[in-house]
Amino acid sequence: MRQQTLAQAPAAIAHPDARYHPPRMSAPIRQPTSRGPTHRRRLRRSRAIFGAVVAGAIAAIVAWQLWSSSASTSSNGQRSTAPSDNRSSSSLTGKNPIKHIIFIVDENRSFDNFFGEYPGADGTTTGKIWVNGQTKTIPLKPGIDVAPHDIEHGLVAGLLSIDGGKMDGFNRVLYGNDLTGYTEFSRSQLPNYYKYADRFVLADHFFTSAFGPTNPEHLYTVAADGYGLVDNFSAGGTGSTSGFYCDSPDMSVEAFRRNISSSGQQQIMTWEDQLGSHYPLYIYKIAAFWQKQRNCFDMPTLPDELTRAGITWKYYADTENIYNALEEIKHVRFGPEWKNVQSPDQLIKDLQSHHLPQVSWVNPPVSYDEHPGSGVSVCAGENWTVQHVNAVMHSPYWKDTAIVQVWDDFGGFYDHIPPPHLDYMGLGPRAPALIISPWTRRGTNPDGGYIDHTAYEFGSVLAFIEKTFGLKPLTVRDAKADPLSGAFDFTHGPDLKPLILPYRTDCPYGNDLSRQ
Amino acid sequence: MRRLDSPDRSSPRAVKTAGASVARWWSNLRLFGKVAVVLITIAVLAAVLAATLGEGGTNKQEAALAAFCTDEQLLQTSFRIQAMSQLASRLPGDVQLLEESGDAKDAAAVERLLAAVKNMVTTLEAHAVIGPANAKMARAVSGLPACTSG
Repeated sequence: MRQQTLAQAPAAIAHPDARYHPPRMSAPIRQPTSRGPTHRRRLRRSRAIFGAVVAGAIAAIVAWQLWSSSASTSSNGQRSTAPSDNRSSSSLTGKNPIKHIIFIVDENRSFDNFFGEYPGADGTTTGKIWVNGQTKTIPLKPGIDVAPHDIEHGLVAGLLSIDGGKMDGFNRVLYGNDLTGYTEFSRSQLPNYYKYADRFVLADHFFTSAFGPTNPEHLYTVAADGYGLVDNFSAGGTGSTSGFYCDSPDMSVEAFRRNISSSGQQQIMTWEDQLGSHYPLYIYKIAAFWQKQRNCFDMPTLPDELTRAGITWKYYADTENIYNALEEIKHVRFGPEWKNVQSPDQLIKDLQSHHLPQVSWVNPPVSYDEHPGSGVSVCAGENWTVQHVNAVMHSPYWKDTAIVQVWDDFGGFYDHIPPPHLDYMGLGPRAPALIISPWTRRGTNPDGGYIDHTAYEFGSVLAFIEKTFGLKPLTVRDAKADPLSGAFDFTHGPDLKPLILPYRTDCPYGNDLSRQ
Repeated sequence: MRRLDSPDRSSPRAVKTAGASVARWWSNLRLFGKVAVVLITIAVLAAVLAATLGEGGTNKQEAALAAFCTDEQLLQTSFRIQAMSQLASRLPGDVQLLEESGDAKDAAAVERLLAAVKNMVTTLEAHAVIGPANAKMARAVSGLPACTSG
């Protein structure tokens, strides 16, 4: 009996679908009249098929369960509570020849959104979404030059997106349901940014300093401190609508209290990690540590330190704008330093008239800041950047200048790397970061550029400025931040050849760079 | 041979043959086998029904919950007056939809949220301390229906 069963097995494998077995199809249908050998063979075959189907179904269920479990485990990225090991110990190699630093801060992009496809960078072509407590993987769609709308990207949205390190909650944020955030630009869509990466340095572990949004992030770019702000200002209500930030009598926002105990801070960070699975309740547990904060306050800034040290600086940004961080620092807004806050249009004039300050912050005008929604085109923003980088490269300053270009927050766009959880304000998801200078480290990118995997945040740029000009850190953030040590190599001679790039002409408003 | 076989699959003769095979297969199964086949069939049907109807809900109830869950995302805006005002204007519609779907429990929970949101709007407009309004929000959201997707 056993031998017969084994002997039949090869036949079953050779003809998996018995309906196609020639003798059966051509033979007349016969009803079995007795339980003879033919009938027993058919019975055994039927049972074998049935058994195989059941076994297959069970195997499929078991495999699916194992896959789900594995996917869940692998997506639950471990978040460090400390920056990478090299942050506090690393320093810039060689004698620092940099005399001018230009810090360009654009708006609302994640690393994967812009450079997720860049060869050799820590990118991805898929994203994780949260559905009923389960993590699922979807392909990222092509980037959208003029995004149809903004996506929520405040503190709560940032925490939901990060989801304790699982990086699967970007579809849960307000206006994120349509998966606009699960998009990714290609080289053909960002040809000039890719050319900068090919030749200079693309930093692929540059984290935003806060979970979001614009207001606290821009504060970090000048003060290594977000003043605890959890959102952008709230307009409306019964308050005055005149003026902006310090010029408004009542513009305000929620902010963490400034005197939270260390045990309270630890509790907040625990709730932050668990917010995704206790949403929305944990918003209000965390919010118990918030208070109303007028958008006008005082805190030490790097421009103050530069002024004290006699180092020239300018903050090129439009006023009455959400990203003008110095407009809400009371002693700057109403003090002598305010003269250094100038229009972004002034930068090229200063380059041409040989009046470039030693340190420049540059916030592009809203039409070119690449913020999603409001009809702003990434293509046009790229042209604006090219216009200014070309101007630097054409100027005598190029030989000792470092340009650092970042985007201020993740903007609701997907990123797959869990940020280190340094404190209750951040870090937030990665932003793209380009470091452009004759002195950048050389690597194997197509035109000799380098992909820098060092973990950075906005405090890293401040630390670089401080180390370059011999200043002390402002806060624990810039004190611990790596000062862009992976991006520069001062032991080799500079590559002074400028990379003058052409404007793109396929932008929605052509290559017009005068749009207001 | 396959070329000749394939058309036969849809012919009446083939159907008759397949039916007879199934009947023969069934009559030859032992009692244990028949019970197993019936149980597996029931399990498959139950799984399909569960996937279609969710946790015992109706389509109307699902739609009402989906509408609420979309509006609930406004809670992410960290107490912006405009967003909270927008939420306060949308929640009555959600309450009505939930009531019409027969989900009185969730309708009551959303109604409590509506009261908390209105209180928060008043607090924000008055530039008052947000602590008590926040505590009321915390109590209100703790009883809300779960939103299961983005």
